[in-house]
Amino acid sequence: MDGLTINAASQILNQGQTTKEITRVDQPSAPVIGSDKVEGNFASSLKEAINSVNTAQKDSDRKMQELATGKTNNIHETMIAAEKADLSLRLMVQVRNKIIEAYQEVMKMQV
Amino acid sequence: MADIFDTTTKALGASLNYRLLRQNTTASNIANAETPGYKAKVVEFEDALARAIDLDGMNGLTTSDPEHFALGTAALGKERVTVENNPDADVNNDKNTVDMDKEITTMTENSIAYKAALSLINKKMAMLKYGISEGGR
Amino acid sequence: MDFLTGMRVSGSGMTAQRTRMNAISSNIANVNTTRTPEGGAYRKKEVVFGAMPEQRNFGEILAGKVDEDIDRVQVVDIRPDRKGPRLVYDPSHVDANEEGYVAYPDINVMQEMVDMLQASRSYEANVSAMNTMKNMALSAIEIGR
Repeated sequence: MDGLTINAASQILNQGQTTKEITRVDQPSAPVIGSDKVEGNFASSLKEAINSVNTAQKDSDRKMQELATGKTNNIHETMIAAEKADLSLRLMVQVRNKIIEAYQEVMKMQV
Repeated sequence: MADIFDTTTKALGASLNYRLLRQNTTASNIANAETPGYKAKVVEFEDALARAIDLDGMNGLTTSDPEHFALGTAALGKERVTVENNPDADVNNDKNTVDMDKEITTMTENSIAYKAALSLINKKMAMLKYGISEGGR
Repeated sequence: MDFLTGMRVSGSGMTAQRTRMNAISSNIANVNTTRTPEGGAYRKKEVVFGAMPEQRNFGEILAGKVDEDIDRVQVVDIRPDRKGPRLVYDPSHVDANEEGYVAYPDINVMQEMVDMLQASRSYEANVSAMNTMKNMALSAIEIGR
Protein backbone atom coordinates (compact mmCIF):
# COMPACT_ATOMS: atom_id res chain seq x y z
CA MET A 1 0.00 0.00 0.00
CA ASP A 2 2.58 2.57 1.00
CA GLY A 3 4.83 1.60 -1.92
CA LEU A 4 2.63 3.26 -4.48
CA THR A 5 2.31 6.78 -3.16
CA ILE A 6 5.69 7.19 -1.53
CA ASN A 7 7.65 5.99 -4.53
CA ALA A 8 5.80 8.46 -6.70
CA ALA A 9 6.70 11.25 -4.31
CA SER A 10 10.31 10.10 -4.27
CA GLN A 11 10.56 10.21 -8.00
CA ILE A 12 9.18 13.71 -8.17
CA LEU A 13 11.71 14.76 -5.58
CA ASN A 14 14.60 13.38 -7.55
CA GLN A 15 13.51 15.35 -10.57
CA GLY A 16 12.70 18.29 -8.39
CA GLN A 17 16.27 18.67 -7.21
CA THR A 18 16.90 21.03 -10.09
CA THR A 19 13.93 23.20 -9.18
CA LYS A 20 15.03 23.34 -5.57
CA GLU A 21 14.38 27.10 -5.21
CA ILE A 22 10.72 26.75 -6.03
CA THR A 23 10.09 23.65 -3.93
CA ARG A 24 11.63 25.49 -1.02
CA VAL A 25 8.22 27.12 -0.69
CA ASP A 26 7.04 23.86 0.86
CA GLN A 27 9.88 23.66 3.31
CA PRO A 28 8.25 25.40 6.28
CA SER A 29 6.04 22.32 6.58
CA ALA A 30 9.06 20.03 6.91
CA PRO A 31 9.67 20.66 10.64
CA VAL A 32 5.98 19.87 11.30
CA ILE A 33 6.44 16.41 9.84
CA GLY A 34 8.94 15.59 12.49
CA SER A 35 12.45 16.36 11.41
CA ASP A 36 14.27 18.79 13.63
CA LYS A 37 16.74 20.24 11.21
CA VAL A 38 15.58 22.46 8.33
CA GLU A 39 18.10 21.34 5.80
CA GLY A 40 18.53 22.78 2.39
CA ASN A 41 18.06 19.26 1.02
CA PHE A 42 14.33 18.79 0.69
CA ALA A 43 14.64 15.18 -0.43
CA SER A 44 16.39 14.04 2.73
CA SER A 45 13.94 15.73 5.07
CA LEU A 46 11.06 14.12 3.25
CA LYS A 47 12.83 10.79 3.42
CA GLU A 48 13.10 11.22 7.18
CA ALA A 49 9.41 11.95 7.37
CA ILE A 50 8.63 8.81 5.37
CA ASN A 51 10.82 6.81 7.71
CA SER A 52 9.04 8.12 10.74
CA VAL A 53 5.67 7.19 9.23
CA ASN A 54 7.05 3.73 8.56
CA THR A 55 8.30 3.42 12.12
CA ALA A 56 4.95 4.50 13.48
CA GLN A 57 3.22 1.89 11.32
CA LYS A 58 5.55 -0.88 12.39
CA ASP A 59 5.20 0.04 16.02
CA SER A 60 1.43 0.04 15.75
CA ASP A 61 1.50 -3.31 13.95
CA ARG A 62 3.64 -4.83 16.65
CA LYS A 63 1.34 -3.62 19.39
CA MET A 64 -1.68 -4.96 17.54
CA GLN A 65 -0.06 -8.36 17.21
CA GLU A 66 0.70 -8.38 20.89
CA LEU A 67 -2.89 -7.58 21.69
CA ALA A 68 -4.18 -10.27 19.35
CA THR A 69 -2.04 -12.92 20.99
CA GLY A 70 -2.76 -11.72 24.48
CA LYS A 71 0.85 -10.89 25.27
CA THR A 72 -0.21 -7.47 26.42
CA ASN A 73 -3.49 -6.25 27.79
CA ASN A 74 -2.61 -2.59 27.43
CA ILE A 75 -5.48 -1.54 25.24
CA HIS A 76 -5.06 2.22 25.46
CA GLU A 77 -1.44 2.07 24.37
CA THR A 78 -2.40 -0.01 21.36
CA MET A 79 -5.20 2.40 20.44
CA ILE A 80 -2.94 5.41 20.76
CA ALA A 81 -0.25 3.81 18.63
CA ALA A 82 -2.84 2.94 15.98
CA GLU A 83 -4.14 6.49 15.97
CA LYS A 84 -0.60 7.89 15.71
CA ALA A 85 0.14 5.68 12.74
CA ASP A 86 -3.10 6.70 11.10
CA LEU A 87 -2.54 10.41 11.61
CA SER A 88 1.05 10.38 10.46
CA LEU A 89 -0.04 8.48 7.35
CA ARG A 90 -2.74 11.01 6.61
CA LEU A 91 -0.35 13.90 7.13
CA MET A 92 2.14 12.26 4.81
CA VAL A 93 -0.47 11.76 2.11
CA GLN A 94 -1.60 15.37 2.31
CA VAL A 95 1.97 16.65 2.17
CA ARG A 96 2.58 14.47 -0.86
CA ASN A 97 -0.56 15.87 -2.48
CA LYS A 98 0.64 19.40 -1.87
CA ILE A 99 4.04 18.62 -3.32
CA ILE A 100 2.48 17.22 -6.46
CA GLU A 101 0.20 20.23 -6.75
CA ALA A 102 3.16 22.55 -6.38
CA TYR A 103 5.07 20.58 -8.99
CA GLN A 104 2.18 20.74 -11.39
CA GLU A 105 1.85 24.48 -10.76
CA VAL A 106 5.49 24.87 -11.62
CA MET A 107 5.24 22.76 -14.75
CA LYS A 108 2.37 24.91 -15.99
CA MET A 109 4.56 27.97 -16.06
CA GLN A 110 5.48 29.24 -19.43
CA VAL A 111 9.20 29.70 -19.61
CA MET B 1 -2.39 -8.37 -7.19
CA ALA B 2 -0.05 -8.52 -4.28
CA ASP B 3 -1.54 -9.31 -0.94
CA ILE B 4 -2.33 -6.01 0.70
CA PHE B 5 -3.42 -7.58 3.97
CA ASP B 6 -0.42 -8.04 6.15
CA THR B 7 0.24 -10.45 8.96
CA THR B 8 -1.25 -8.14 11.57
CA THR B 9 -4.65 -8.08 9.90
CA LYS B 10 -4.64 -11.83 9.59
CA ALA B 11 -3.56 -12.22 13.20
CA LEU B 12 -6.33 -9.92 14.39
CA GLY B 13 -8.85 -11.82 12.29
CA ALA B 14 -7.70 -15.15 13.69
CA SER B 15 -7.86 -13.80 17.22
CA LEU B 16 -11.46 -12.77 16.61
CA ASN B 17 -12.36 -16.35 15.69
CA TYR B 18 -10.73 -17.82 18.74
CA ARG B 19 -12.22 -15.29 21.07
CA LEU B 20 -15.63 -16.18 19.73
CA LEU B 21 -14.92 -19.82 20.40
CA ARG B 22 -13.87 -18.92 23.90
CA GLN B 23 -17.06 -16.96 24.39
CA ASN B 24 -19.16 -19.93 23.28
CA THR B 25 -17.26 -22.27 25.56
CA THR B 26 -17.71 -19.92 28.51
CA ALA B 27 -21.44 -19.68 27.80
CA SER B 28 -21.56 -23.46 27.79
CA ASN B 29 -19.73 -23.61 31.12
CA ILE B 30 -22.07 -21.08 32.69
CA ALA B 31 -25.18 -22.87 31.45
CA ASN B 32 -23.83 -26.15 32.86
CA ALA B 33 -22.65 -24.70 36.15
CA GLU B 34 -24.83 -27.06 38.12
CA THR B 35 -24.82 -30.14 35.98
CA PRO B 36 -23.37 -33.03 37.93
CA GLY B 37 -20.21 -34.44 36.45
CA TYR B 38 -19.70 -31.61 33.99
CA LYS B 39 -16.09 -30.57 33.47
CA ALA B 40 -15.36 -26.92 32.69
CA LYS B 41 -13.64 -26.31 29.37
CA VAL B 42 -10.98 -23.77 28.43
CA VAL B 43 -9.72 -22.56 25.08
CA GLU B 44 -6.00 -21.97 24.68
CA PHE B 45 -5.02 -20.14 21.54
CA GLU B 46 -2.63 -17.34 22.50
CA ASP B 47 0.58 -19.30 22.34
CA ALA B 48 -0.35 -21.08 19.13
CA LEU B 49 -1.25 -17.78 17.51
CA ALA B 50 1.93 -16.10 18.71
CA ARG B 51 3.98 -18.90 17.19
CA ALA B 52 2.01 -18.76 13.97
CA ILE B 53 2.63 -15.07 13.40
CA ASP B 54 6.18 -15.48 14.52
CA LEU B 55 5.97 -12.84 17.18
CA ASP B 56 9.54 -13.29 18.33
CA GLY B 57 11.09 -13.69 14.94
CA MET B 58 12.35 -17.09 15.95
CA ASN B 59 10.96 -19.11 13.11
CA GLY B 60 13.28 -19.13 10.18
CA LEU B 61 12.16 -22.50 8.91
CA THR B 62 10.16 -23.54 5.90
CA THR B 63 8.35 -26.79 5.31
CA SER B 64 8.45 -28.96 2.25
CA ASP B 65 5.37 -31.07 2.74
CA PRO B 66 1.84 -30.01 3.62
CA GLU B 67 1.73 -32.69 6.28
CA HIS B 68 4.54 -31.12 8.28
CA PHE B 69 3.71 -28.82 11.15
CA ALA B 70 2.99 -25.45 9.70
CA LEU B 71 5.45 -22.72 10.56
CA GLY B 72 5.55 -19.03 9.98
CA THR B 73 2.70 -17.15 8.41
CA ALA B 74 1.52 -20.25 6.57
CA ALA B 75 0.36 -21.48 9.92
CA LEU B 76 -2.35 -18.88 10.31
CA GLY B 77 -5.58 -20.77 10.16
CA LYS B 78 -4.05 -24.07 11.14
CA GLU B 79 -3.15 -23.39 14.73
CA ARG B 80 -3.71 -26.22 17.06
CA VAL B 81 -6.20 -24.66 19.38
CA THR B 82 -7.31 -26.80 22.23
CA VAL B 83 -10.67 -26.90 23.89
CA GLU B 84 -10.13 -29.10 26.83
CA ASN B 85 -11.08 -29.68 30.38
CA ASN B 86 -9.54 -27.20 32.73
CA PRO B 87 -6.74 -29.08 34.48
CA ASP B 88 -6.50 -26.98 37.63
CA ALA B 89 -10.14 -26.62 38.52
CA ASP B 90 -11.53 -27.41 41.90
CA VAL B 91 -14.03 -30.19 42.04
CA ASN B 92 -17.33 -29.66 43.78
CA ASN B 93 -19.31 -32.28 45.60
CA ASP B 94 -21.14 -33.33 42.48
CA LYS B 95 -17.92 -33.52 40.42
CA ASN B 96 -18.75 -30.30 38.62
CA THR B 97 -15.65 -28.19 38.01
CA VAL B 98 -17.20 -24.90 36.93
CA ASP B 99 -16.05 -21.85 38.89
CA MET B 100 -18.68 -19.22 38.20
CA ASP B 101 -16.57 -16.23 39.13
CA LYS B 102 -13.75 -17.34 36.90
CA GLU B 103 -16.16 -17.85 34.03
CA ILE B 104 -17.64 -14.38 34.42
CA THR B 105 -14.17 -12.87 34.55
CA THR B 106 -13.09 -14.77 31.46
CA MET B 107 -16.18 -13.64 29.65
CA THR B 108 -15.68 -9.99 30.51
CA GLU B 109 -12.03 -9.92 29.55
CA ASN B 110 -12.69 -11.85 26.38
CA SER B 111 -15.42 -9.51 25.22
CA ILE B 112 -13.24 -6.45 25.81
CA ALA B 113 -10.35 -7.97 23.87
CA TYR B 114 -12.75 -8.94 21.09
CA LYS B 115 -14.04 -5.43 20.73
CA ALA B 116 -10.52 -4.03 20.83
CA ALA B 117 -9.45 -6.36 18.03
CA LEU B 118 -12.52 -5.36 16.01
CA SER B 119 -11.77 -1.73 16.43
CA LEU B 120 -8.14 -2.23 15.40
CA ILE B 121 -9.12 -4.13 12.28
CA ASN B 122 -11.43 -1.26 11.46
CA LYS B 123 -8.59 1.18 11.85
CA LYS B 124 -6.28 -0.81 9.60
CA MET B 125 -8.93 -1.08 6.92
CA ALA B 126 -9.60 2.63 7.18
CA MET B 127 -5.91 3.38 6.68
CA LEU B 128 -5.83 1.14 3.63
CA LYS B 129 -8.91 2.81 2.21
CA TYR B 130 -7.37 6.19 2.78
CA GLY B 131 -4.20 5.20 1.01
CA ILE B 132 -6.15 3.73 -1.90
CA SER B 133 -8.24 6.84 -2.34
CA GLU B 134 -5.12 9.06 -2.16
CA GLY B 135 -6.65 11.09 0.59
CA GLY B 136 -9.55 12.24 -1.51
CA ARG B 137 -7.43 14.10 -4.03
CA MET C 1 -18.81 -20.96 14.23
CA ASP C 2 -21.30 -18.33 15.09
CA PHE C 3 -22.90 -16.28 17.77
CA LEU C 4 -26.16 -18.13 17.63
CA THR C 5 -24.64 -21.28 19.10
CA GLY C 6 -23.53 -19.45 22.21
CA MET C 7 -26.83 -17.65 22.53
CA ARG C 8 -28.77 -20.87 22.23
CA VAL C 9 -26.62 -22.41 24.94
CA SER C 10 -27.25 -19.47 27.26
CA GLY C 11 -30.93 -19.69 26.43
CA SER C 12 -30.94 -23.34 27.41
CA GLY C 13 -29.33 -22.36 30.70
CA MET C 14 -32.06 -19.83 31.37
CA THR C 15 -34.77 -22.34 30.56
CA ALA C 16 -33.23 -24.91 32.85
CA GLN C 17 -32.96 -22.47 35.74
CA ARG C 18 -36.52 -21.37 35.23
CA THR C 19 -37.73 -24.97 35.33
CA ARG C 20 -35.82 -25.36 38.55
CA MET C 21 -37.50 -22.23 39.93
CA ASN C 22 -40.86 -23.70 39.05
CA ALA C 23 -40.03 -26.87 40.91
CA ILE C 24 -38.88 -24.85 43.93
CA SER C 25 -42.06 -22.76 43.94
CA SER C 26 -44.08 -25.92 43.79
CA ASN C 27 -42.14 -27.33 46.72
CA ILE C 28 -42.56 -24.22 48.85
CA ALA C 29 -46.26 -23.92 48.08
CA ASN C 30 -46.87 -27.54 49.01
CA VAL C 31 -44.90 -27.66 52.20
CA ASN C 32 -47.90 -28.82 54.19
CA THR C 33 -49.77 -30.80 51.60
CA THR C 34 -50.83 -34.15 52.95
CA ARG C 35 -53.10 -35.23 50.14
CA THR C 36 -52.26 -35.66 46.47
CA PRO C 37 -54.04 -37.28 43.51
CA GLU C 38 -51.40 -40.06 43.45
CA GLY C 39 -52.12 -40.78 47.09
CA GLY C 40 -50.01 -39.97 50.11
CA ALA C 41 -48.25 -36.77 50.97
CA TYR C 42 -46.70 -34.40 48.47
CA ARG C 43 -43.17 -35.43 47.53
CA LYS C 44 -40.50 -32.83 46.97
CA LYS C 45 -39.62 -32.39 43.32
CA GLU C 46 -36.00 -32.48 42.28
CA VAL C 47 -34.65 -31.25 38.99
CA VAL C 48 -31.79 -33.10 37.34
CA PHE C 49 -29.60 -31.30 34.80
CA GLY C 50 -27.67 -32.94 32.02
CA ALA C 51 -25.23 -31.61 29.47
CA MET C 52 -25.98 -32.35 25.81
CA PRO C 53 -23.91 -31.38 22.81
CA GLU C 54 -25.40 -28.39 21.09
CA GLN C 55 -27.22 -29.44 17.94
CA ARG C 56 -25.77 -28.33 14.71
CA ASN C 57 -27.34 -28.30 11.36
CA PHE C 58 -26.61 -31.24 9.15
CA GLY C 59 -24.45 -29.38 6.70
CA GLU C 60 -21.89 -28.56 9.33
CA ILE C 61 -21.86 -32.12 10.62
CA LEU C 62 -21.12 -33.36 7.12
CA ALA C 63 -18.32 -30.88 6.76
CA GLY C 64 -16.78 -32.32 9.88
CA LYS C 65 -16.87 -29.17 11.94
CA VAL C 66 -18.31 -30.68 15.09
CA ASP C 67 -15.14 -30.55 17.10
CA GLU C 68 -16.14 -27.71 19.29
CA ASP C 69 -17.61 -29.35 22.37
CA ILE C 70 -20.19 -26.73 23.10
CA ASP C 71 -22.72 -28.21 25.46
CA ARG C 72 -26.14 -26.95 26.25
CA VAL C 73 -27.88 -27.88 29.45
CA GLN C 74 -31.13 -29.73 29.57
CA VAL C 75 -33.47 -30.75 32.32
CA VAL C 76 -33.18 -34.50 32.12
CA ASP C 77 -35.70 -35.36 34.74
CA ILE C 78 -38.02 -33.86 37.30
CA ARG C 79 -38.36 -36.63 39.80
CA PRO C 80 -39.79 -36.94 43.25
CA ASP C 81 -37.49 -37.01 46.17
CA ARG C 82 -36.41 -40.44 47.30
CA LYS C 83 -36.68 -39.68 50.98
CA GLY C 84 -39.83 -40.78 52.72
CA PRO C 85 -42.37 -38.40 54.16
CA ARG C 86 -42.04 -36.84 57.58
CA LEU C 87 -44.34 -38.49 60.08
CA VAL C 88 -46.02 -36.39 62.73
CA TYR C 89 -48.16 -37.81 65.44
CA ASP C 90 -51.59 -36.20 65.27
CA PRO C 91 -54.51 -38.60 65.61
CA SER C 92 -57.12 -35.88 65.26
CA HIS C 93 -55.95 -34.96 61.75
CA VAL C 94 -58.19 -35.96 58.87
CA ASP C 95 -55.38 -37.75 57.06
CA ALA C 96 -53.95 -39.61 60.04
CA ASN C 97 -53.25 -43.27 59.40
CA GLU C 98 -54.14 -46.17 61.75
CA GLU C 99 -51.39 -45.38 64.21
CA GLY C 100 -52.28 -41.71 64.29
CA TYR C 101 -49.37 -40.43 62.23
CA VAL C 102 -49.81 -37.87 59.53
CA ALA C 103 -47.39 -37.91 56.62
CA TYR C 104 -46.07 -34.46 55.75
CA PRO C 105 -43.69 -33.69 52.94
CA ASP C 106 -40.10 -33.60 54.03
CA ILE C 107 -39.43 -30.10 52.71
CA ASN C 108 -37.10 -27.69 54.46
CA VAL C 109 -38.20 -24.20 53.53
CA MET C 110 -34.81 -22.70 54.31
CA GLN C 111 -33.17 -25.15 51.93
CA GLU C 112 -35.64 -24.25 49.23
CA MET C 113 -34.96 -20.54 49.73
CA VAL C 114 -31.24 -21.11 49.32
CA ASP C 115 -31.90 -23.11 46.18
CA MET C 116 -34.05 -20.30 44.91
CA LEU C 117 -31.28 -17.76 45.39
CA GLN C 118 -28.85 -20.08 43.66
CA ALA C 119 -31.20 -20.54 40.71
CA SER C 120 -31.70 -16.80 40.49
CA ARG C 121 -27.97 -16.16 40.47
CA SER C 122 -27.37 -18.78 37.80
CA TYR C 123 -30.14 -17.29 35.73
CA GLU C 124 -28.54 -13.87 35.93
CA ALA C 125 -25.18 -15.29 34.96
CA ASN C 126 -26.73 -16.84 31.87
CA VAL C 127 -28.43 -13.57 31.01
CA SER C 128 -25.10 -11.81 31.38
CA ALA C 129 -23.43 -14.33 29.05
CA MET C 130 -26.12 -13.78 26.47
CA ASN C 131 -25.85 -10.01 26.71
CA THR C 132 -22.11 -10.15 26.26
CA MET C 133 -22.51 -12.30 23.19
CA LYS C 134 -25.10 -9.91 21.81
CA ASN C 135 -22.80 -6.92 22.34
CA MET C 136 -19.94 -8.67 20.60
CA ALA C 137 -22.14 -9.51 17.63
CA LEU C 138 -23.42 -5.95 17.41
CA SER C 139 -19.94 -4.49 17.41
CA ALA C 140 -18.86 -6.95 14.73
CA ILE C 141 -21.55 -5.45 12.52
CA GLU C 142 -19.72 -2.14 12.70
CA ILE C 143 -16.64 -3.34 10.85
CA GLY C 144 -15.90 -1.05 7.97
CA ARG C 145 -18.56 1.44 8.97
